[in-house]
Amino acid sequence: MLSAADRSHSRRDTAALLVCAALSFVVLLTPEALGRAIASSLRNTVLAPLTALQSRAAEGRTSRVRFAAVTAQRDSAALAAQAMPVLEAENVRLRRLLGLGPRIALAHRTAEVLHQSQATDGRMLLLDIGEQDGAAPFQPVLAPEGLLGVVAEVSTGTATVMTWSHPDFRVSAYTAGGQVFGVVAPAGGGAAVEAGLEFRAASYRDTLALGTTVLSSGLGGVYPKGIPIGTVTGVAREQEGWERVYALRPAANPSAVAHVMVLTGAPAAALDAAFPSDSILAAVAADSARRAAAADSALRVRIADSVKAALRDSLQRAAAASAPAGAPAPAPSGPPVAAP
Amino acid sequence: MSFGRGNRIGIAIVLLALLLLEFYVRPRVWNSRTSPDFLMIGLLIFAMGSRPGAGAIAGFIVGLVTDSLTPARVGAGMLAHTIVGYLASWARAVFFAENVLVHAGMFFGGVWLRNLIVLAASGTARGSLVHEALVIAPLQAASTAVAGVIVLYIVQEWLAIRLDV
Repeated sequence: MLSAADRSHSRRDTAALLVCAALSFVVLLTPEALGRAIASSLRNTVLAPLTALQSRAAEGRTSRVRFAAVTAQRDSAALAAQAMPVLEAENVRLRRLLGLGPRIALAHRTAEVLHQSQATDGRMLLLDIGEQDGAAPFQPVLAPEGLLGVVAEVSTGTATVMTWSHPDFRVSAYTAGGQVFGVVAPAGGGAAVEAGLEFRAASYRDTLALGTTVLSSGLGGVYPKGIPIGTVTGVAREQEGWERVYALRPAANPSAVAHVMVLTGAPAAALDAAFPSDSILAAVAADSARRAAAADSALRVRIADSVKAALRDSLQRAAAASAPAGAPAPAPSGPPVAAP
Repeated sequence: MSFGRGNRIGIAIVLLALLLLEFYVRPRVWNSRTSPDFLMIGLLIFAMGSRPGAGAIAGFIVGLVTDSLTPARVGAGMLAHTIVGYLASWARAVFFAENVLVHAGMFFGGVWLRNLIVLAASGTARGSLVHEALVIAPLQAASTAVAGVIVLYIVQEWLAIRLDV
């Protein structure tokens, strides 16, 4: 039989469990933005030493363990970059011929990923850069292999990234070659049995081959055009006669990535330069004005010719009427009379 | 195992060391989803030597820390760690076995249960849930169990723990 002290302890234990569980439920049911604000304030205050410690450890690991891999990547990039000047010159010439604007210059910052042991680590990542480094919400986050996600929230020294595996993630996309446009979202709706991505809103009549690369389309103004998102691995599901959803193998793996690039350039300003719709409109308007002016001057010439011909005829008729019968009509001479 | 006044300093040092292992050593050595969760080891060691109420409160605090660092769904970690902290303390009182396998089983079960609750509470899609629950979570639970037993062997003198094989 329990003693009075034990019963009291037992009641206190149960009360502690209920209070903690109730508080957890309250936080769980609050709006997500509020929850992230709480998390952010904790990261900036009590947990700041822990994140700083982990950041140093991640940097140390990158510089030590990944040195060989990073060196190999740099060498490959250097080799590929040797052909860049020729390609750039060619690209500039072709874009000028086509009347396209210059490519977007994207500023970026590199950041270390501070992986946690939580089960949802791959869904939201913590980066070791913050507001002071130029990070801001809605900036795209890239891994060397392709698109990883978007910055969801930024605090003083850290930023949280919503990766493609988050249920709210969406990106406008198109297939390499530009045949099919759609929206990429994480798999998981309905009968998805594997974690991955889906290429949605593709027209039923369009068929994609296995292995087709899917890139970001640049629509929406968040993700620049041309970032690899994934490759087609098959048809995930179909809505008869309406839509076909393709399964994608993601280009970048959030759980395995060690460092990332955050595109810190202002997207709106940069994307304006990439979509020269204004300059095309201006060129079309100038061309129309030129054509209209040319057509107008041709009309004037035709009118003047008609007037001259009419005057010539009337002069001839007048000369014929005033001349004696049998005399030849005088030929018109001198400059034509200007039309009033 | 229960913490008297004498080994409170011991448990504080052990928890501090586990914090360092989690946030400094693990990212440098084995930064993977299947690497040991040293925060969880700390929580379970504390809970096994405390009353269930204290275990629940410690779990709530550990959950607050993990949710702040991985804000996929704030609150899911708090709930999971609260339940695991309470159950670990309660189970320790029921089983009362100073056995290595029992301790390893508690580490394994604690991490697996924590991951299942976090995944379920954070609205994970079915495909990911199955993969995480049946592949990643058991691997992480196994690595944590091994690391937990090693930690217990190292600190058994400080915390007055007897480990029978």
